[in-house]
Amino acid sequence: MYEVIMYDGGIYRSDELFELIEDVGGVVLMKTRSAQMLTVTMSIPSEDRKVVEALCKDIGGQVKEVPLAGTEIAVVGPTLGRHHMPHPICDVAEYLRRCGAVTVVMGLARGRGKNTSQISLEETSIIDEYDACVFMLGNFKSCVETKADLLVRKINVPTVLMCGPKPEGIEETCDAIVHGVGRKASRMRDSEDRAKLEEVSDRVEEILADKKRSLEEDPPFVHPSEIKALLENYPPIDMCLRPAPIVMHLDGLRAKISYEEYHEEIENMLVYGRRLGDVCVIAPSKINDSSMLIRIKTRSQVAYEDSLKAVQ
Amino acid sequence: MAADIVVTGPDEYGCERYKALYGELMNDVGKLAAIEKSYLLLRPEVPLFVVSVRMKTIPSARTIGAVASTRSERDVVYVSISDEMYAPGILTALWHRYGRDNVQQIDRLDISVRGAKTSFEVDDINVESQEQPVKEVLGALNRVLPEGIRVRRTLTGNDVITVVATEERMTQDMLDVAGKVHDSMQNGGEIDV
Repeated sequence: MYEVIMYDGGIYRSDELFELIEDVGGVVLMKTRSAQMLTVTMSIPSEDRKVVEALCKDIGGQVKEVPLAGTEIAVVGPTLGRHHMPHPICDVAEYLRRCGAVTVVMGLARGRGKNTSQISLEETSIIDEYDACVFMLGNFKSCVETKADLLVRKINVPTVLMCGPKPEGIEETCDAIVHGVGRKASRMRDSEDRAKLEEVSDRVEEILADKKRSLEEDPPFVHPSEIKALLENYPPIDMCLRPAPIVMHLDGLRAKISYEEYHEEIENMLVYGRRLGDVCVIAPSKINDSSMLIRIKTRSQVAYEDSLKAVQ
Repeated sequence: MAADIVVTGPDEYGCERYKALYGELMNDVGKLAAIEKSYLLLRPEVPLFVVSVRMKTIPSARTIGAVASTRSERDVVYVSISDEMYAPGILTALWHRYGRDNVQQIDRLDISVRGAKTSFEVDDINVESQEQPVKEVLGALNRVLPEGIRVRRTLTGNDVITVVATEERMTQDMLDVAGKVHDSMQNGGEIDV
């Protein structure tokens, strides 16, 4: 059994930590360095956790729980205008990042208004690339109910709706509702606000746990971290200057390199003696050509395709 | 805080949150202290939003003499700014009149000007037009009103500014409601809409 934890500390003696992770058979999921500070999200065997924790403390760092590690979450507002951004959308995104998720903040092109707001097919396709979505609406009950029906219903990934008043009759449009946070013009600093942020994180954790359970029924052919380890040494990714060139999803990865240029090379890489292109669906991201999505096929899917090949 | 903020509408939660939001936004733009009374009518189910504010004083043009003290020594006029909010405006106005070479900002609130005949001449230079405070209040009201409620009309008169907003077509009924609110704010009477 593997556990995901995060080291938060200095860069000093961090090479010892990386060596230990490798020695115990763990994987570094994400590494972020800022000046002399370092955060490392890692997946390690449960039985070795104590050893890793002891080393982290020895080199002057802290170990934190990261329940959302290995996921990418979209935090969506009706628009990018100052009426809807940055508070509290950025606060939610920041809090989810502290829980280990990689978050993306986005606004809709025509999400403003009550009766005229809309979400395009392109927008829903982009949101559907993520593991989960947190959708933020405002302070008026009638607006929240109308807009949830117009916008949130069309999203196909697990969604947490955040809004001010408690809405009625829209429970089936989303997977969870957190009410009590609407439009705000200041940061979510007080204890009540912090409790709401924690509630959002808990709801996201719950809906992702449901998704994980359904994935476990027919698990991916390989774990995303194994493909991550394979891709990390691939030169275009190794040399990519974007903060997180590979982002793990529950059922795959996002690789932030051009699909047009590199998809053939990636498809021809080998994992457990098979072409990556045979065990994954590799597709360009709907955002633009600068990233690609690698969705790992399930074991039954691969077995079924093998049986078809055997017949031929 | 403003002396009086009244928010009415059928959505109790929305009204309560908008009262706080209005106070925060007006405070952000530095206009809360200049407002005597604010009235917000919020009917999101229509949707119809009316925001009316009564200023403490009728906005008037501001000169350097009103926001800074000046003294003349030999051929140099020294300007000492008492209201920092006007510092950028004063500097711009002085540059425009006397040229950049003749205007020196000694420190944050002190400026020396060469080429002015008397300090009275500097005192009379306008730093803010009569319309500027109204524009700033309108800008703040646009931030308060929901983004999607784009069809807006503005009523102004003496010290009262009223903005009525809806999403699609502005009907005569909506304008009548806004007119009533505007008149009541001007007359100081009770608002009943």
